[in-house]
Order: sequence, then structure tokens, then C-alpha cells
Amino acid sequence: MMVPWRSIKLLQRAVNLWLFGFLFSTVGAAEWLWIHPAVPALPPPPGALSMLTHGFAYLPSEWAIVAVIFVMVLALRSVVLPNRWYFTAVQWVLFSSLVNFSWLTSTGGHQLIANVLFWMIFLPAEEPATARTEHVPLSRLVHATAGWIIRFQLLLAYAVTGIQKLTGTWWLTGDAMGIVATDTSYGPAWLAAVPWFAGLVNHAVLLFQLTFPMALWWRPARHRWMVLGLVFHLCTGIAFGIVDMALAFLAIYPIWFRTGEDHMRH
Amino acid sequence: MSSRGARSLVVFVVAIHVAFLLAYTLPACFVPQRLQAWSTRIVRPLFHQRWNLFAPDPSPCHCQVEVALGDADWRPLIPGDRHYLLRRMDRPLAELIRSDVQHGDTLLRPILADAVRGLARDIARDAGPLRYRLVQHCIIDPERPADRATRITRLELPMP
Repeated sequence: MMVPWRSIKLLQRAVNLWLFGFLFSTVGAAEWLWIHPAVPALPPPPGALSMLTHGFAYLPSEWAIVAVIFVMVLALRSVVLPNRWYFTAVQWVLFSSLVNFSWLTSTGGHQLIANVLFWMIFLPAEEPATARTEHVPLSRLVHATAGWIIRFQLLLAYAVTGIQKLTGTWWLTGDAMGIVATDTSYGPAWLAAVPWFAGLVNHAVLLFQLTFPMALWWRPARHRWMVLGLVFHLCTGIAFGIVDMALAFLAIYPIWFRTGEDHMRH
Repeated sequence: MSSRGARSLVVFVVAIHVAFLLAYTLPACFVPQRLQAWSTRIVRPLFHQRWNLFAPDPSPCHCQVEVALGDADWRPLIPGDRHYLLRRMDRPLAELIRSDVQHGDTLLRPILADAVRGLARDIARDAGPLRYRLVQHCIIDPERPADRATRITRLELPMP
């Protein structure tokens, strides 16, 4: 039932490394994004809970840069030291608020990290002691729930994007990749000049996204599909200028690593 | 709690959460309306996520907002030499404006107008007010996506 400790530890380090790297990369545009934002914040959704994830709709926008620095410091700390739940909670509130504040720059990768950060609050900071009793302590229940929700969150992202594409027209006819490739915001334009190859890539992407959740569930295929995912995300990240989104997905992969699963079975 | 009971509880909580996420993110045609309304109320404030990049279809138009000072030539609102996160705003902003323009509305919504003004704030205004336009390059035949028709729409900004 428990997600292996080694997978949890790797996930915590990878997510914090991503957080630090991404926020550090925003510093060059801090004047436009955080200090004197060029784009106004969206109004928060109704409900008191949105105060947690849309903080800068209520707080002065000048505080955003302070939040950026604070999250970076906490992330750097958590790369090397155990993840304390209270630090992760602060990171989740601030990072979610920053993502919603700079809504025009946010991608699915940022939303993924924000969601995973919430569930990381409930993951253990240190390796839990092996239980030898019939009764399961509450802490183990909480750890297991959070670990499995993070696992499913990753699968859901691939499954839903694949299903969304099935409801369209051009992914099924094989024309979608050519349209994306000839869009000057994305590319690479040469892909459309070889229609059979564009069609092949089109269907390969669809197949990969739809099979990813099943392949990860099936242990023998898991690492092979993760390698495919690595190639897929790096290619799309570089071609479309969304490397941060690509790395965000890859940072969550460790939660599905097999390392330690055999040990837990025994 | 017994091991079996604990396992059941974990499965239940995970299943409920995932079900709400699915109801929130799947295409509307797959989800009963009432369940979608519940999921929006629960998921939107805390766990908002959208997984529809290039889905259900990629946009048929490449679009960009351009700006001109007085009688000068048009230039992109966000030049190509800007920080990658600023360049990234170009496309979604233009898409939102395109969506309004498609409904025959060339007077921008206040939030989009403020965003356009904010991104053009470093342009000197000595030579008069700025002019804005939306340039779209739209596919004509999906099988020949490189052939695109150009549409230009002048944009009006409401008074700040």
C-alpha cells in the first residue's frame, strides 16, 4: 500500500530542484512579472479556499517578489534537508498564488507542480519505521493516500490530454501535428513538409499519451514508457519553448520508480 | 485500524479525489452536468488544472498582437528578444483576443486591455497614441497547413 520511501525522497528532491530552477529563471523578468506586473491578476474563483491559492488577488502585488525569493530559499533547503510538512505547506500556498498571479505564463507543468506540492505536505520527511503490528497507524494512512494521489495525478494528466484529443477532428485524421508544426509559435516547420512523417508523429503522440497510464501500472513496461516520456517531453519542450513544463512532468516521474518496491513486497 | 480497513480507506479517498479531478478535466460531453458543477466548486479553488494543450484540436490560426506608434511600422507587442516568460504571454493573450474578435467584439475586455497596455508600457509615447491590431494566419486546408490566409483586425482599447 505504501509508496516506496526512495521514490518519495527522489520526488521531494526533484520537485524542489524544479521549483528553485524555475523561480530562479523568472528573476530576469522579475520587473515585468513580480515587481510591477504587466498583466493584472485574474479575479479569484468564489469561495474562501481560493484565498490560499490566489493570495495576490488579496495581497499587494509587490509582495510577489518576496514570495519568489522565499519559495526559492525553502526549495533549496528541501533539496538537501528533509522535507518538513510546514515548509511544504508554505511553498504550496505561495507557489500556487504565484502561478495564478502570472496566469498568462503558466502551463500545465506549473499546475501539476502546484497540485503535487499540496499532496507532498502529507508525505513523510524521513523514512517511516517498518510496522510489524496488525494495526496501521494514522500517519501511514496519510502517507499512503498522498503518495497514491500524486501517482494518479501524473497518470490523469496524460490520460485526460489523450482523451481530449480524441474528441477533436485533426488528431484523428493525422493533420494536427502538421498544423502545430507550421504555426510559427511552435514548429518545427520542416515536419509539415514530410506529411507521412507528420502523420506518424501525430499518431505516435496520441498513442503514447493514451497508453502511458496503463504502461506505468504494468511494472515491466513502466521504465520503458518513462524513457519514451523523457524523449517526448524534451523534444516538445525544446521545440515549443516550454522546457520548464517538460521538466515539471519529469520531476514527478520518480514517484513511479520501481526502486524499493521489491524490498517492500518482502 | 486493521490493515484491510486501512487499505479500503486509502482506496476510497484516492478514488473520490481522482473522480472529482476527472469530472473537472474531462471534456464536458463525458461528465454529467451536476457532477461537473460539484467538481468545479471543489477542484477549481484548490486543485485547478487543464490538460487541453493542442486539444481537442490545435488552433487553426497563428495569431499575434502588434503595436504601432503613430504612423510608424507595426511590430510585435512582445518582441522576440524578450525573456522567455514574456514571449510566452504572446500566444495566450492573442488567443483570448481572437476569441473575442470571433464574436465580433473588437473593443477589448478591461483585463485584456490592461494586459496589452502593460506589455506596451516601455514604448515611448512622444509621437502620439499607440495603435493595436490582431494578425491571424489561418489554415485554409488542414492537409496543407503551410498555406495560410492572413486576417488583420484593428483593436480598440477601452479608456483605462
